[in-house]
Amino acid sequence: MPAYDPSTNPLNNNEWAFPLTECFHIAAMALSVGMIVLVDLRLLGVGLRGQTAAQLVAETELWTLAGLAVVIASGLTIFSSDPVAYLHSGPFLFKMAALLVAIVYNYTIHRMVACGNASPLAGKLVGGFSLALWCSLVFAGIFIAFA
Amino acid sequence: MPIASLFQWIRDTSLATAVRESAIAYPIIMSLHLTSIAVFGGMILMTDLRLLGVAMRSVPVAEVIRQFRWWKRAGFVVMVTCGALLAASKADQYYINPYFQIKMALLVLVGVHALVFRRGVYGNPGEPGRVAAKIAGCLSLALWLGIMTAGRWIAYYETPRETVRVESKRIASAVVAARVNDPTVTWATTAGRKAGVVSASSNRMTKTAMPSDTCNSTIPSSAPAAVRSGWGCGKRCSTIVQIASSRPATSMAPAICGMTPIALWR
Repeated sequence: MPAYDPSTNPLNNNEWAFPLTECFHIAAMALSVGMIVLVDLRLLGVGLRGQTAAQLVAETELWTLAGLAVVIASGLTIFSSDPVAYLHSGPFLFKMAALLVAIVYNYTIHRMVACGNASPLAGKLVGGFSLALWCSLVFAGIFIAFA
Repeated sequence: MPIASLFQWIRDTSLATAVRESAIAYPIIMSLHLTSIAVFGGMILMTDLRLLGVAMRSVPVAEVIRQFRWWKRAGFVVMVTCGALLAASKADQYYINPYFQIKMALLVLVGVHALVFRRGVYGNPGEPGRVAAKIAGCLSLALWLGIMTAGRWIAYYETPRETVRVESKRIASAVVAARVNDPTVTWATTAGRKAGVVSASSNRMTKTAMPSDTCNSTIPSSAPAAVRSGWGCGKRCSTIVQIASSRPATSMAPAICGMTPIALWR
């Protein structure tokens, strides 16, 4: 007898709850990933050259944090709709591992390189990896529904 | 109806058919659509927040708009291309979907808003008026959030063709959405076979199930409790089930994890 029965979860019983939660998830994803990507593009040297990477980090960090908080909260809510299915999903497990790496990376290496005096090559490598990492999270999210 | 045949024709073009029938193309295009939302949607958000005066205040408005201009244009092209491919692959269902219609109308309004505020805000090389900037930022934010919301809701709208009302009977009715190639989900596979949408030899789906693909069978005791008692997830959770008593049968089950209903079980 499972302790938690997802069929009682409002997300599975209310017609609006699930899509609305997804909307919060997507909007907050655009905010958090979008802000991090701004710094990445600067590190790659392909955009926003009017500011330094450090300035961009300072301008975006609160928005990034707010976006991450909402994206994780809404993600946990979606997860609660069917935990066992998600735990059996390869793309979901990848997404969680990549998310952990991405967050740690964002607040350590990524931040140090963006705010310090790193060489342009180091900036490109660190920015490129960050961009690829966050994009892979988006792909994994979609593939949960298709795998 | 000529408009219906136009969308049917779009759906039947070789490109739209390829997107629809490929197991990998559809999710990849959808991922690209979402990635452009993350990257370029983030730039739209940042521009709007700057116009509202709550972010990047150390950089002049005109400078923020100028820096993002070509990125946003390129992103818009990628986003629309991917979205158009996804819509074309199901064009016959999309054009009658009210959320798709709302989304298209809001996209037109985004264009109108860009034209209206072109001189005062978006194309203004100097500092735009504070009121105009705030109105433009608010409108853009509301329109884009509306577009995203309508876009998500497209997936949850049931086209009338798929709406089936099932009378509550002594034998429970359920829509079974399952990965039937999972041999452990025998009860779902059995339903799919009986409904004629699952191959008896390979246990794989032979076609997309429609609500007309039904089977008469009692739900076996081997089916998970959730199947017998209501909606939820089934064994190993590769299944999603909804007892369809009085509500439209296919409404939520396939939408919740993007799975395809394999059979209406009655």
